Amino acid sequence: MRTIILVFVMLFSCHKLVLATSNDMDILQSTIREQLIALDLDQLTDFVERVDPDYREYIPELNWQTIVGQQQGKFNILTLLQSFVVRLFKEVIVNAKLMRQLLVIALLSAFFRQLDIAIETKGLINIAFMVCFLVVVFVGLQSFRSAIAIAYASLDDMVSFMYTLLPIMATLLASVGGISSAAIFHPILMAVVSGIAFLIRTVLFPLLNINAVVGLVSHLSADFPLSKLSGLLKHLSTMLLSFVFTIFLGVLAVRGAIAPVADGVALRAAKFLTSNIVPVIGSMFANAVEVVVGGSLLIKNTIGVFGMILIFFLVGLPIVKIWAIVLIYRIVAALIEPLCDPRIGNAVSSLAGALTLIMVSLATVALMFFLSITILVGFGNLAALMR
Amino acid sequence: MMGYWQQWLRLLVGLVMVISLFDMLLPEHDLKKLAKHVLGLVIMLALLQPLLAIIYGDWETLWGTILPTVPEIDVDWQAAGNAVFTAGFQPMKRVVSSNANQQIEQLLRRHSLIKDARVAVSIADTGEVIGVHAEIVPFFAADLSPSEWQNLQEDVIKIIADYLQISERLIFVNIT
Repeated sequence: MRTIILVFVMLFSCHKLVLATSNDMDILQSTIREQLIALDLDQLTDFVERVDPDYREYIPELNWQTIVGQQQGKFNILTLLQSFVVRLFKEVIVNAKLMRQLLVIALLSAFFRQLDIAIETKGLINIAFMVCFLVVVFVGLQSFRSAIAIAYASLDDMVSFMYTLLPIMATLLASVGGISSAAIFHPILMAVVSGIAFLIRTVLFPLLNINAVVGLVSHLSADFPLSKLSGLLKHLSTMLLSFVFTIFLGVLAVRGAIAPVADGVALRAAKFLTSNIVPVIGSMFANAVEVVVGGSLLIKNTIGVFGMILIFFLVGLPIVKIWAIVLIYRIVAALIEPLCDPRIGNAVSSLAGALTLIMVSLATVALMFFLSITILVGFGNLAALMR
Repeated sequence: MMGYWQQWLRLLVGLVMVISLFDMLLPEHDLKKLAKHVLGLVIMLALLQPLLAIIYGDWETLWGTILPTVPEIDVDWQAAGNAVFTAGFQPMKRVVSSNANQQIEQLLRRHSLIKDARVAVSIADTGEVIGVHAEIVPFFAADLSPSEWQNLQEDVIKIIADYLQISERLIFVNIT
């Protein structure tokens, strides 16, 4: 937490430092412009297209005006939260068909339950109830599948974005003198990102998928419950997610201060050699190095902030969509509870539980990626401070 | 990997559905308890399948050979960082070069024979001076003897070499 606060303080302090005279700004702007051309950020900015058009205005443009603070972004947390809440309700309305379907089937099963109480031939009524239950399972699993597809798409978007962002961040880290930091932490962060993606994609999401199906089926028959199996799968899923997050935090914890210090010392040595060995122009060059490094640092920090905002939008909207489906499940479960057989309500609730876990795991992955970007931003700032 | 689990899940769900149906259709009888017991055992056997695969170490079937794919990470960070740094350094180099030119021009204009001077200092990305080109306009150019021309050229080279502390071989002077 302290690191994140430090990074943000550095981001804003660096931002303020460059607001000097117009002449200085001209030199800095041209330096930043040249570096942006050399970096070629087209691949990175292409990811903005993957964000919903309604939210693209919140993403800052990656140009020199934004970097030197001449162009302010439209990122306002209050209006953003408001638009997310509006979007959530819109999604609930869009998915009202699912609610209607579930409610109709639940009401039908309630009718059969009343018949079951009234008449004595229970076998047929039980079969009718079972059919109703299976229809609920079918409808529930259909929407669950569409929700999990959203989660998969969001995860893939985030991972491919990270694969594009990390090399650019590492290049900028190397350009501010953090060559050893880039060489050490780029492969580590790449491995962490691909490891997280692999575990979530091929182990956690399928596990949650199985958990949802078993959770549904466990309510089918009161004599053959599978609730313990469902509980075991849920336990395994949460354990895996906690394990992944703990490993990730461990990697961050052992990142150490050695690399930034080494980078800072190397940068200092380069400056000393330039100013003392190269006569007359050397001292001018040593000062010029400071300006270029400052420019690279600003670009890196701006790209870092851009990355964080993009990750937020790449995960935020899918979470809102999944949350809308969870809300529908919860509303349906609450509505049918007094009327229907508790098994139907419990089945719908178990689906909501499984989807909530998917939502949480998606948010956890986004948080891990968010922290990875923060770490890379922090490394460059530390190396620059050391000089 | 997923194939095994999908198959197992299908088997389990199918079994539970069929067994639940049987349970409903079976008439109330003493044997129903026994039937339930047997059906329960069948479900337990189905549940045991992946557990047995883990115990007997059938990892290939359970997890397959899928491994996470990491993109190409063998990058020369020194070169990558230098490319961005050098690009950003060009405007600074122009400023440094222009400052150096002006300073040397002012220095040369103090010479009694020099009316005007234009200097272009070429600087490498490492900060080293790789060449200096000086265009000198002397006073009374027509009156200067060849030896005075020679002396003036040598003076200019010496001034620049002393100021920048570079080899005289890097300096090219053109007197017009």
